[in-house]
Amino acid sequence: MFDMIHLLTADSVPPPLLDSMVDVYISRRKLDLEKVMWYAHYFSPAAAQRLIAAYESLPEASRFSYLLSPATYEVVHVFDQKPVENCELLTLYAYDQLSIAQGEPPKGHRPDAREIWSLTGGEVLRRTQAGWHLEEAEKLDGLVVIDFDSPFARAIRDSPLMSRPAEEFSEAERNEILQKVKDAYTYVDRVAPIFGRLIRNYTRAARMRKCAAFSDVSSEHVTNTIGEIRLMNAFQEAYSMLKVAEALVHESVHNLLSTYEYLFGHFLLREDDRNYRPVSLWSGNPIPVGSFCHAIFVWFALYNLALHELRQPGLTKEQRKQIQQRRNHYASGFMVPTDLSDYLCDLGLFQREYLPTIDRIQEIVQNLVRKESHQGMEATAIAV
Amino acid sequence: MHTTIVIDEKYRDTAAVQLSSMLSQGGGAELVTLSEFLVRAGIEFDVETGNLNWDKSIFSKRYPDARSRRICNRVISISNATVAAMDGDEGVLTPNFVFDVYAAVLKEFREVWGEPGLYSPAGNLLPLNLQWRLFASRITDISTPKFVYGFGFANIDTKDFHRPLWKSPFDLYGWKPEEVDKNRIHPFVVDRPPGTPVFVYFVASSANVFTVEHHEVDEQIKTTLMRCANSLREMFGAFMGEALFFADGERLTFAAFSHYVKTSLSDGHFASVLESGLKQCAA
Repeated sequence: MFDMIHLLTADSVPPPLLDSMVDVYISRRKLDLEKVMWYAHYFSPAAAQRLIAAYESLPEASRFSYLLSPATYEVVHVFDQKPVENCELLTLYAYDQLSIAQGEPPKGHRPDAREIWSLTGGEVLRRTQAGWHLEEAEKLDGLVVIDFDSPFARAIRDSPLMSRPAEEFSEAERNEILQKVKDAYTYVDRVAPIFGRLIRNYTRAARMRKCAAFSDVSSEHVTNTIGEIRLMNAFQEAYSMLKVAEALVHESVHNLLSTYEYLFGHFLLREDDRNYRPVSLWSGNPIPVGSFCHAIFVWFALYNLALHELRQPGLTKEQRKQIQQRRNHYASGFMVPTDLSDYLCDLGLFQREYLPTIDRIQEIVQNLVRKESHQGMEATAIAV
Repeated sequence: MHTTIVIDEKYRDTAAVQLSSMLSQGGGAELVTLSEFLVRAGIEFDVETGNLNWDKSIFSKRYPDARSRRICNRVISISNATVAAMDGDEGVLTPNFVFDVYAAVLKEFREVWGEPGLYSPAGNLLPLNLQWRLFASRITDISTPKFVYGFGFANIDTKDFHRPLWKSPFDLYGWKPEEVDKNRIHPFVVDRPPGTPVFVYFVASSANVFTVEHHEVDEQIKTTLMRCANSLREMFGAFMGEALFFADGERLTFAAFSHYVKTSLSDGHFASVLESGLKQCAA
């Protein structure tokens, strides 16, 4: 996994993993959809046929959107739990996507609907007296949807961030978030262009959520919706532009890792026992083994983001200090003198490369920190 | 041999004063806080880089005889107060940065009592559930408590629990039922083991068993727990510590291990266990 390590340094020459893995992901998603179509025949040949017809009706560009969306990933991922129901849902999704492509729904599709959403939540067709009217959400670089209103943004789900009803954003709050997210993305893309590319490649949609009572978690990603990230109360003053930047990178790395695991195998080979959670070396809270597995890479990426930020010319003393503070926070868990693998090895069964990889990352960070201490200068990119 | 006892600024080992007085009678001893120790060793905060530097020339001058010195490391956790003392309250460093340099400095000394482990400079510092898992993997004839650690806002079914306690997995000492918010996130619910509390504590390879009411402890229980002391020392990587068990007739349940010995200080034999343990180490 040395290419993954290198990718997360955001060094100027990234490995093929950064871009080529997206192609592999699309091919694999197509294969999985074909599997669904085949499997569904055993339960309802008619439903299977309808799904095939729906998918084939999509123009090429729409097929990519359909395959890449977090929504279809989620359904395909658990397809076999309710084959016919999920087949019907995938068919509906295909016709939703077709509706957006055509500017109106095909005959008989959602006849009573007042609005039809694209699968990323980036476009909506609204029924007006004059016919159907297409609205588009704002996107980062025309790619990453900033989603306030889609059913995907407003759903109530099991995860902490989505478990309470979505509250309405005021116009001012929306504008605040839009500006912050755009500024954050621009900032990341400027100081570490590879991370900008990471965000564009692996995050399809950033869902915005508001819940006044919520104070625990500010951003989230879940592995069964690859490509989606969620931000909570991002309009608040405490949620600074830099914090949004951190969330964009943090959650996009999760998406990168989930994509990697989906394609090449999970880091954790057996479901962990939630009764035994390792304590995070960053927060001091017990977290699931799977979260700990991802966290190592996320903190490493953020540490490298801070190193890139420190290389910006013209930083004031105060700005430098603030970035150093964040840099040290990101590096913190790696600085323990005991091997990172020791914290995990008894708590799960890991893919062969995983534990050596995290120890290697720890070694890299410790060397970079010590190099800075001794020479008093900013560390340059590591040689792996 | 002279011994330097190192403690955290805020999380002070309650046995430190006794340790110091006993070791002073040996080759001499001093008691210092971690931040004092590190500064003396030549560790300084560099405002420019936001990191800690180690000026080894200061170390060599201060401890030319490091190779014949002993450190009694009683830093179980590094507090934010220590971190603030190291970075002049700039809020730039974290406890793990101090942990890293402390471990490096300790390596320069000939004898170190209490070595870094998981989550602690003085051994393995674990929450209760991980302690029980570790204990159960090594000792099979003593039970560990029944528990459930829910994820998120989980509803815990406690109908099979006799005495359910809602606790924090980091709360080693709270074993009495009390009113708590059962709707908390990540609920940790333990079935309080049957029986009465009994402690075993050790200093190096010297140990004793006692109860807080100073009752006589059944001989069988005492033997079993004294035998356990070595396993506890090894599994938690501890120089000294105390463990709480619950004894119900002949049945024992392991409840918690602490690197601190705050309860054991009240045992009448503590001083002699301490003396004996230190003598064995120093030999």
